[in-house]
Amino acid sequence: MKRIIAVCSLAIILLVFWTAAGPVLAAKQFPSKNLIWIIPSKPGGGFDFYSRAVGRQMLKHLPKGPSIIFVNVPAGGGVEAVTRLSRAKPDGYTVGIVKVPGSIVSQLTLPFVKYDVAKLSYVGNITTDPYAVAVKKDSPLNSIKEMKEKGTVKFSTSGVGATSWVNTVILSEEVGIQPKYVHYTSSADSILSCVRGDSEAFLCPLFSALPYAESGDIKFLAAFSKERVAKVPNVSTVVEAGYPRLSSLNLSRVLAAPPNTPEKYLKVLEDAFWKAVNDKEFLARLNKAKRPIIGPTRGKEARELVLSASEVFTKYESFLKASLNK
Amino acid sequence: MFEVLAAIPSGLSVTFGGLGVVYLFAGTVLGFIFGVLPGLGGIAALALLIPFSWGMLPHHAMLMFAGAMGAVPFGGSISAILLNVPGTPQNIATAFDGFPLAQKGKAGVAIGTAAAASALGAVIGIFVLVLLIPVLRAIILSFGPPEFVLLIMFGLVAIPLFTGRNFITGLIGGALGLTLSFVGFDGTTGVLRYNFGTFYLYDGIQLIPVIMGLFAVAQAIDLISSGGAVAKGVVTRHKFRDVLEGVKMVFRYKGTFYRSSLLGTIIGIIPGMGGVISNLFSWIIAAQSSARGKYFGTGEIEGVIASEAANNAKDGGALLPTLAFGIPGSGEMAVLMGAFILHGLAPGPQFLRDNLTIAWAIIFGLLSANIIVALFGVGLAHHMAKLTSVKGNIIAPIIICASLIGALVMRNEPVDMFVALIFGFTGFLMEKYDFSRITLVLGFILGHLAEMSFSQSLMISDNDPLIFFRRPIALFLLILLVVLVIFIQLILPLIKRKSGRSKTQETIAPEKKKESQRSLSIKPGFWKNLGFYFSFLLFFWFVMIIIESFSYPLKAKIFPLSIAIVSLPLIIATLLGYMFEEIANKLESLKGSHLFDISSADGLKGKVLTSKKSEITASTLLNIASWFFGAAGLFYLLGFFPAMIIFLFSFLRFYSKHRLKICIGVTAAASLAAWVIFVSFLNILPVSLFFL
Repeated sequence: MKRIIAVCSLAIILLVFWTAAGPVLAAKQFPSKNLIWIIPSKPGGGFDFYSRAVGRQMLKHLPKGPSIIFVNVPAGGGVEAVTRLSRAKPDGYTVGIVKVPGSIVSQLTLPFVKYDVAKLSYVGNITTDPYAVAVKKDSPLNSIKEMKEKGTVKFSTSGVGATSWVNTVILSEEVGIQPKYVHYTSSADSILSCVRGDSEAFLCPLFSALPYAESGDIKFLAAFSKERVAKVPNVSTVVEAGYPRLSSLNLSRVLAAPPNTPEKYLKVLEDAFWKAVNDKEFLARLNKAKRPIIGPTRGKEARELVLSASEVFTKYESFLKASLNK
Repeated sequence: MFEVLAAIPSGLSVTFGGLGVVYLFAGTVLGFIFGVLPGLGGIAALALLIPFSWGMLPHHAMLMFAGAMGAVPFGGSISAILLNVPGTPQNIATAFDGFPLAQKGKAGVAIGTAAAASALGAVIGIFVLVLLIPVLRAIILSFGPPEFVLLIMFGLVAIPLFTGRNFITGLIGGALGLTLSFVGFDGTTGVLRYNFGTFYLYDGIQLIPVIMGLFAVAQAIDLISSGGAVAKGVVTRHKFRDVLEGVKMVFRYKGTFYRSSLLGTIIGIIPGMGGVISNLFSWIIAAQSSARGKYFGTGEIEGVIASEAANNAKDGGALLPTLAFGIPGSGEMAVLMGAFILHGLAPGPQFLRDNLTIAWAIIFGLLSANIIVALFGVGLAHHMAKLTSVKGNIIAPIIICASLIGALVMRNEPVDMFVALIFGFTGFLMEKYDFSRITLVLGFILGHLAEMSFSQSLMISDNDPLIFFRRPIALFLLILLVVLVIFIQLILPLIKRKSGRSKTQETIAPEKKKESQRSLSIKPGFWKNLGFYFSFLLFFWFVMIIIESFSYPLKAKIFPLSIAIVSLPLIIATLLGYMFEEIANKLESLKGSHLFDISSADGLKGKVLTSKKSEITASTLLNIASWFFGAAGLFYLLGFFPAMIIFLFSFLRFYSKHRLKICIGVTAAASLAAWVIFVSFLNILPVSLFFL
């Protein structure tokens, strides 16, 4: 009995200390304690990189003292991360990345998803990576038109349900290609499959495939963007190919906060964010690192971006669900 | 080629001149710590160093990364040897033989061997790679899914060879591993399988909690329940001489060493094969080709050489394809490639043209890191070995804390801690009741990979199974596999039967047969045996797999369903063996007469060292379980730091009943170390109920 009492009292003392310390310190100024930044992927990789880079840059424009703790929550392809974000206290101290369209497609197609991207508060869009469709360097295919003429094309994807798969399904549907698939679990594997000749074409973020294009292993057929991408000016766009609707197939990394985050806190975060992504020296460094920031927006536009993407993918909802269960 | 070699001097000067050495050393120290700590490995070290390196000179950053990469594998081998806790999944095969050696009081020897095998393996790896540069691209591009299927088959056909004491239950362990690997969403078929309605299992069962559990937690349970220390009943004074003796072992078993290094390099080059496979395969092959093969897993120094040489050679193997073609050969390399790009060094053919100096600096950095940690290891091994004589009930709670943090840190998913504990008790009971953990790990790591590669192969060939015959490398591997299986299964036993006809099997087995003809008699008190209930749980698992499979499409259920159906009679036989004396005898006799004679029972009898003698009662186990699960609950409630203090102190005081001084001292030291490493240095705060 004695020992139980001892353990319990010790536990309670520490518990009280631990939970009381936070709120007491948190006083007038925002932010006055550490922020938590949820990353919807494992350490390493694009989401992790942009989060840490932009987060550290944002700290320069926030009141001194507090820091950001980055928490990687990769479960369920990012579903768990957005779920935790939407359940967190709306006190401005928790932010996280929403994958567009990944988090939207999950919400549409997976039965157990409990969040709603439309209800989140938005800080801003960090960057929008255009997608691209590419083939092996010596492939006879040179354009989306030729793919259509060929009829059946074998695509490698980074897995059923992944963004590259979603975009491949939609591309085939819009253009009228008969797709065949070889599914892998990462974009690197799907690119390599095409280089080996095990598949004919693949879709992935343009900047992920750029090193392979520069080394002469693959060639781009089209970029999924409205205007030509500055880094690869000779790659034509889907708009030029006559499929303007496909230009919304891209990958955005949007910074969000829990639903109903008070406007005054959101404003502080948004201003710091906006200063960070417009810092010339920072942008130049990212450019050199081949992780450029393309088309950053403030919270309001980020929200519109998410809603319009929701609209686009809702159109394909039943179609995607059907492909998922095939 | 000349240009490549001409850049060596400038590479050397970048590495060893100026500040480079400092960064290299810093990276090495960090890598070593990340290697030693369970659950953290190369990927974690790199991912945390990358933001830190932002703004550093590229070659300084690269040297720091190379140092961390080079030091992780050996760091992991130390915890594998001393505590049976593989520091990273890539050290798992090191624990198979290294830990039994530590139990025999030979930890110093094992660490010495691991240090030498690691450092020299890394050298061989780089050397082989430089020789292979002209054909590197061809090698990389000739391994696709069909070739993977056959490579993995080599690992899967080896499962029956590592069944341990009992053939049937060893096979069940393998089947359990295979079925567990199929849990979760399968990206190649788009089917969510065996998640039993939970979202947690969507991603499948994660490798790190499984390995943490099967080895680290199971070891902690064993230490507590059996009392004493790791080195049981062996009074050893750990001397420096032992360590040197260990170093010499690498030269004694040259064949194993060279073969393992070469194999590790090749597996490193092949993208997607990963680090875990290199050391497992190397260990398997060493066990099959060594004259003392049947003693593998009981403390054979050759096993340590095979695992560690391959493990470190693989990094070299994975490095050059990453640099030269931008094709990462392993998970660590994928993260490293991100770091290259970040520093404006785009990997690819132009990398070796434009950045030869940095390429060499990385290679030298990797080699130096290996040598630095090896020297460090050799110098300190006899001190570290003393850890094996510390009382188990002091070390065990620390292992538990480290495992819980390790399971939590990478995904911030609190359930992972409980999964680690569940696998801890599973691993402990498996070892107690002869269900091999080694076969489980083999099955778990290879199962889903095999299935995925198989369905990818069929997608590539439009469902034409002849694809395995049409691709030259696949065909070669297939022929090799068939020859090996026929040789091991049919010809070898024939030879043995001819030479040893009058021996044991033939004389004892018929007698037993006669006995078993009689009517069955129920074993008295079989329901008191924990093994019976454990077997029943496994039976239940396979039944669940079969029931769940009905609703899945054929391509998603063919593998799991057939494995579960084959395992069902095996587990039923085991259950009956617990109930009826005669069936138990029959199962006993089976192990001696199965076709794979190499690992047949006698060899592994040496395994008694794993504290088999002390029978554990259900109440002891429940008591330990409530402490451990309580700890995990506390970790979740309070966050790891306060939880760790409370758990460590109360466990030491009220369970182990140590003096107050010891309790406070150990708790303070361990917590302080955790605080320095995780909070103040890495800025990691694992989630808790009040914190996300």
